[in-house]
Amino acid sequence: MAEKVLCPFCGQMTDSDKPNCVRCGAPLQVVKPPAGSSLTRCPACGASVDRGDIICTSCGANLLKLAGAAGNIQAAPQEKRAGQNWLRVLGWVLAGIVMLAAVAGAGVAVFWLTRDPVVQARDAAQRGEILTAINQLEKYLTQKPADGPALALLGKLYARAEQFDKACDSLLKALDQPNPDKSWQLAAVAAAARLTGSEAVARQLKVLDRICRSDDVDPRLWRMLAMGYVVSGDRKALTDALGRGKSTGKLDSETLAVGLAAEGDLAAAEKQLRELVVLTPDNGDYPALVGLLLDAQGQSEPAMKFLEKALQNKTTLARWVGLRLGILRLMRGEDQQALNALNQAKIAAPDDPEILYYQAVALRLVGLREEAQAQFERVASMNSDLSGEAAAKLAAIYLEAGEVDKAASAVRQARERGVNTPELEVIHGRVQQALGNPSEAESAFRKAIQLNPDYPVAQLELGLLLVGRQVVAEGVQALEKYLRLVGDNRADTRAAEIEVLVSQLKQSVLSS
Amino acid sequence: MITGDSLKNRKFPCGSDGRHVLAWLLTAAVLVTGADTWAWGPRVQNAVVSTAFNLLTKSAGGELGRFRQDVLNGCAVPMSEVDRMYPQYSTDPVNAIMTEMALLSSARRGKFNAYFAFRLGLLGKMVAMYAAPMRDAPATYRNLYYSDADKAIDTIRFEPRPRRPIDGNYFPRLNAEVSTNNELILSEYRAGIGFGGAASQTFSQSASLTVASILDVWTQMLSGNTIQGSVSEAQLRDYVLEGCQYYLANRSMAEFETALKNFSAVVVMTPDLRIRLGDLLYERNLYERAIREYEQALAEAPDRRDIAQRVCRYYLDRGQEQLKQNALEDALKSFEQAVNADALNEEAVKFRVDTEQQIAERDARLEAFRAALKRGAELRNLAEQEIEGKRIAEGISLLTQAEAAFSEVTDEFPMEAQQRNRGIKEVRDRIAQLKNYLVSSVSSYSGSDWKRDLRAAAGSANPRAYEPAVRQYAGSRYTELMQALSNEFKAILDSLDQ
Repeated sequence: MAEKVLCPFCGQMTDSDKPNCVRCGAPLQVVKPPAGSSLTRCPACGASVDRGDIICTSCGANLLKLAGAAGNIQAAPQEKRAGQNWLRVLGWVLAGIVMLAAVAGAGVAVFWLTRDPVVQARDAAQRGEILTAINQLEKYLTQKPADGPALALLGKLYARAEQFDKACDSLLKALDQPNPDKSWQLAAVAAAARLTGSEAVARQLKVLDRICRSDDVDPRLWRMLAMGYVVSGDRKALTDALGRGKSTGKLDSETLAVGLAAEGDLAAAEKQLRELVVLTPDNGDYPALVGLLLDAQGQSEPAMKFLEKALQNKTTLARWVGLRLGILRLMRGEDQQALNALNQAKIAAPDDPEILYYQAVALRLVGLREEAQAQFERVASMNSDLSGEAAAKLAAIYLEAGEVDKAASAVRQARERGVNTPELEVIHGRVQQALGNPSEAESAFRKAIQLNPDYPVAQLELGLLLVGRQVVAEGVQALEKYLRLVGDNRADTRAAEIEVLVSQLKQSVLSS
Repeated sequence: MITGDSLKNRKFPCGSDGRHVLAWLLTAAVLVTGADTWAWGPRVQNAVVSTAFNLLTKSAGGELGRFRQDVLNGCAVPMSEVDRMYPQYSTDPVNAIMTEMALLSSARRGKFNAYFAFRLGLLGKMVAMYAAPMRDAPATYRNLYYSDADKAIDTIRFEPRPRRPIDGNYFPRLNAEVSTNNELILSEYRAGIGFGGAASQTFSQSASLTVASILDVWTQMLSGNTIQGSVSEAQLRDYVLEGCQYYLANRSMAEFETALKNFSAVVVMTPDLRIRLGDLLYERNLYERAIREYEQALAEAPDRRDIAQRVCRYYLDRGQEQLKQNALEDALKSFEQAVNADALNEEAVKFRVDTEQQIAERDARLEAFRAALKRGAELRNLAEQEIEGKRIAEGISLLTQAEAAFSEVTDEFPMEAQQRNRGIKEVRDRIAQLKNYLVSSVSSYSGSDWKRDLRAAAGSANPRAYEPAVRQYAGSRYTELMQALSNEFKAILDSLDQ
């Protein structure tokens, strides 16, 4: 593995074997002094500089630019020394000084060689030499990999170098060592919080999960872990986390309720949330969740009450609350109220195709046909699961408006979007009937029946077509089947009239 | 009866006049059979009677001219008819002539009428036959003579003679005068001279004598100086009956009725006479007129059971015929008349009762039919009310009931049958119209369940909206916490201290 070094230009960590910095593209060769260079002093002011420094800390000169000229600078005194003997004495003095300096340097070297590398790295880091510090610690940890403080320090250094992934790994390793410091947990969380990218949450959850396996964990971490698993959809991990959390008594009611809901224990989740609704009457999200859970359990009546309350309390889940409340209202025939709810959902999610679709349904049912048509056209043009269905509904509206060609086109569009429902076949049949193709219309109605023998509208349309074609006996049979399928649920139908029609046809046309 | 008119008017294939053909036939018959031993040939008879009537008409002021054809009809009757009426004519022609004169004198009580003229012609014929020459000659020569005379009738010249009264010597003297040239003529015929000699020369004289004798008889008879013979009531009744028969054969019923009224002046209309008259009418298929006579006779002689039975039978037959034609009222009337005529006739009584029953039944049927028509009309009105209320099937049902009501009416009564046909046609047309409307109206129900489809679409929405909602909620909480903790722990992370 390549050695990590600090880029002298951008200060980010990069691979040492690369010709350029992977972060900023600057040439890395300049980081190292040129081969054979003896430059350890600033050519501008003569102050001592480290190998690899770019800027002189004394005068601020760019050492890299001056590096080439340094040779010339150093070459010039040699030529002068050769020409000026009187300076020889001064040279000896200087040599003595150099000797003294060498002795002092040796002493310093001995001092450095005998120092704690962790301390050295921390010192380097404090001096801003993060890369050096990281290198020192990495080198040290190859010899002592179980050194918790070193690992923790390395993690922090990685974090300082914005290598949060490594930081998390290092801190987690530190936590795995005996007698870990509690601050390391917090540091790991903080590092994890800074993770970015598609895998960030997964990494964060890994960190949190590891932390939550420790003793005496902050309850907020448990909450985060559970919520995180809810978001990730990892059901197994969620169940495990909830189990552990409950056993430690660190899970709050909200987290538990959300977790239970995500697990599918709707009743238990609903019970927890109901308590929260009572405790926080101004909260909009708890009644929203209760309403949605009740709705999912088929309890539409209480569900609507909670959903209404959620909207009143300005829930952050208005998108889902408005949608479901609108749908429930539509199913109950409360079309105007449904439209109001769906309008609120649309404010929360203006471009959600599902909301747009059901809003179009509501508009159609309250009699705003043109507005419904425009809305269906919008959904049909979107890339959504409901685009095909919207096209089918659009065809029915076109047909009603007498725009048969447009209706036929919409039917084709619905087919292209993969719609293969008896409803679409019935609309197709009606289009064919309007185009004067009764045989094709009959085929379409029969295909609709084939797709769903219990779809009453197909029987109705087939019956009406057959009666209209003077095939009265068979037509009446289909109409009777329609009435049987509709049963007593005759809302939004003309079943009563059809019943009279059948009776009249049987009494008059069939009896003769 | 063959009449002069009928012969004159009849056209034969050869195109000749019917009268000429008759003359030829008579001549041929005389020549072949020699049966008719009396009289001139038919042409001569006709000529002399006609001439005599012309003379009589002139003397009477021309008022008799309109009966000329009747006179000629009487002259043209065959010899057999003369024999039937007067069987003694062949042996005692004078007696027969006198009898006829007496009869006509008696019958002269009324107006001069067609039948009287007919009998006048007959009398003329009888006189003409008596006054003919060669009457006693051998049949061969006599017939040849009469035949020749018929041929020569157009050549004679009439010689007027004074009127002579008819007395006891008239006919013997006439006979002597007529027979004067018989020998000569006969000898010439035997000699082969034939009609070319004396016969021809005396022909005008003989014919004129015949005309004069006819005119004498007629004048005598019409003047009222006729020798009154013993004309019985029976003869007069026969005269009346013959007259009626003549009228029925040759004249209109109105003339018959007028003549019958006149005949009542000639003879008393006894029940027997009425019965015979009735029979006469009956034979000529004049049933009702005959029955009138029968009934009149029955009224005059109620004990005449035979008449009653005849009338009864007539009405029975008529009633049965009317029954066949389903004319119940007429039949009942006939049967009632039959019963009235013969109350003892069980068949008539039975028919009357049966017919009354049939009428009652028919009236009941008629009433039922009218009720059915009324019911049909009411049902039709009710049907229209139902149809107005968009209850088409109910309307059709009522119309069907109306049709059934109308169909109860049969063809027995034309007016009701006509109403039935009209009603049925209207009802059927309306039913067909409604059925078409019903069938064609079904298309309006197409697409009517779109709301149901839309609600079904709402129902098919995924109810597990809580899942993304929970995720969203958890996500926001997670993010909030992460941010909070990140901020909170940043110092720890940044610190390089142990």
